[in-house]
Amino acid sequence: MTGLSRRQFLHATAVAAAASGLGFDFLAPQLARAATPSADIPSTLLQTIRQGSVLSGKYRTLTTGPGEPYLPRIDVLRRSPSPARTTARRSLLYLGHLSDLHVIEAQSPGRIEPMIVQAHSAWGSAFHPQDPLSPHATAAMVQAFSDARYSPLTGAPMSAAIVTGDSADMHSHLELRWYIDLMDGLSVDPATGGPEWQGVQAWSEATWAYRPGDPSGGDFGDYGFPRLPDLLAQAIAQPVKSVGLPAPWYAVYGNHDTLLLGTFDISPQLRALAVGARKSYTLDATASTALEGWAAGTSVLAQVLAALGLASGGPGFKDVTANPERYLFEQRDFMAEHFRTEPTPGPVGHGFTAHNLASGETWWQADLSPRIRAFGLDTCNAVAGPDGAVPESQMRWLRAQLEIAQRDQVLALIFSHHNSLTLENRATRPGVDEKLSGAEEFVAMLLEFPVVVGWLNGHTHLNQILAHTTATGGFWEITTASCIDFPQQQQVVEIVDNRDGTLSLFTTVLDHASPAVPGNSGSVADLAARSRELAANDWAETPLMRRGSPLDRNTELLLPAPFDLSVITDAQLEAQHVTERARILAYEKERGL
Amino acid sequence: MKRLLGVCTLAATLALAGCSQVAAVAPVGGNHLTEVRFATIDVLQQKGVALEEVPTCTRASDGAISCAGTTADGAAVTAVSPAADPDGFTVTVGSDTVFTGSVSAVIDQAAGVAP
Repeated sequence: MTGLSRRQFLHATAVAAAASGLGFDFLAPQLARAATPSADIPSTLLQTIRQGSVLSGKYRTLTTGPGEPYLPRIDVLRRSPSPARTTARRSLLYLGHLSDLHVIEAQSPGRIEPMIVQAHSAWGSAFHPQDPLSPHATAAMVQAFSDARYSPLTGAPMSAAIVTGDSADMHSHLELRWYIDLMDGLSVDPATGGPEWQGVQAWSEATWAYRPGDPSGGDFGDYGFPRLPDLLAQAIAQPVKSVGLPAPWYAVYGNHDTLLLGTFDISPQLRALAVGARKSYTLDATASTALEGWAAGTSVLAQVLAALGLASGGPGFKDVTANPERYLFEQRDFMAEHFRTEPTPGPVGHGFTAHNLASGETWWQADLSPRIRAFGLDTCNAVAGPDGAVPESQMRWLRAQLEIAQRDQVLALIFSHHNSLTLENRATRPGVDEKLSGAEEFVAMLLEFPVVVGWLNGHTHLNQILAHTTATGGFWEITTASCIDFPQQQQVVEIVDNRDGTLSLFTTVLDHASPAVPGNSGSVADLAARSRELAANDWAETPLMRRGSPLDRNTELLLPAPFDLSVITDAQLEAQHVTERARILAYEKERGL
Repeated sequence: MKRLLGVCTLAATLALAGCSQVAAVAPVGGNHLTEVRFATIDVLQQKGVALEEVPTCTRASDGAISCAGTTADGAAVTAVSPAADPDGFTVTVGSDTVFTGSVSAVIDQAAGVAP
């Protein structure tokens, strides 16, 4: 340790020992070791996953490729950085960034998979060939964050993680619980309908779907999707175990956490369908169910389906086992469910507080360290449409909070689901006149506050990094890919002080912890690997472009420091790292890592 | 997300009724724009062009995409992809055309697809 005196170190260690439940004698020598980056932390710095050879038809396998180094970007700094920064830097915060997990309970009758028959590219998010493997891919992603609990750049411990929305795919309570439990390190049981798979991918009539037992006779079979007769049984054979995130995690709303399929309001008919014992496997049946009672309804989904001429109805249901836990949750439930959580890694509420529950406000702030404050926004439109905007109430609140952060010399990170290319949805309910700000106004406001250094978001299921600049500086907007569409990648972001008047945000892309080529063991890792391979071939989702360019993946994003960072003393930073390392040591001990 | 791209036309039709709720059922913007940006950067990276401002792109009303950035030594970088041929694009650095070809081919190649 260089920042803390011996007395300060012993005091900090004693506090950490009390907080973590670890013995002082165990903790002190561990914490006394200097933080050094390990060369073998799994990330795309070491290895990437690339598309490989043709397996059948157009279906391709995946393979491994070389790692990708950090590439510096100077769009905001606008000058060459000092080479000396590489030896002078110190880590201020090491953060996990997850988004668009889209945890899916694929056997649910509340899904509308057959809509892809109407237009596959339009409704592609209603059905993916890898849907049954969503909990496995999510658990493998959590494992990747566990593996990267120390920074591959500096060795700093992970301070926190943020989930920027679209956590539950189809507004199902089960999906919401699964997501929270997987983040927390609990197991989830995917056998929601009993020991046999019940759903379109097991039903021969659903030729439009990828049916791994016999893919022939439909588009997926024609494409060359493989025959995997054991896949669905493996998907529900055993509970999906998760190691849990290694740091306190926070959450914001995504459009899928707000509206059905992230786009439509939820009708009583769909609520009943979700907990019922009939599941549709045809377009007509899905449409007619959604349209039941349409004449009296104002549902946007109903209007869309009507315009598509899908009100004819007809047969197309099969019996399934009803499960009351599949109920479609209300908007407030998303917040409330975050209070049903494990004490570690915490925090209870995951950003949401009792004030949120009482007031209905869906945005929050939290200090991730003494000098770094996070602002979690709700940019979702609760009326209709997948894209979002920033309501005036949040604009006013955020401006006031950023003025405080600017005054107090606190770095600010903004978290939201939508990104600057998707903040333009100004749909409002009749009679509601709160102003909704789009990207231009929102970015302009953030640029007024130099303490804003980063805006982390998701929504478009791709890796993308954009610079927003002023004459003298600016901030970085970092969009991560999803856990459902290829490449099924998330990221870690580290803020480092270069001790030369500049900051760097390092972004490191993580693949989930699974092999490039799936085996047939039925393990979580093999099923996650299969999920990624299927996603890479899901042509309707334009999978390959979602990797982004090299300048959207492993990067060093430079910017001017907004204030003299020496106000963050080495001793303060060491004390912060002692606390965080103790927390991770407790995590490792509890899990036998 | 996700997108409901094919609902675009439908939404536009319904929007004629003046319903802001239905008008919002529009696609998540940016696929063509984003693909052109990614492909442009891929090309510049492959050619070893160091950048100060990584290209950012805009879409014209007719759907054409234009991107602009600067190299580390101050030269302008542009890329254009016409609405009539969204898979085609041209990248220039200063006055030199450094690439003309297919957006999807560049993206496929970058992802490791064998020719």
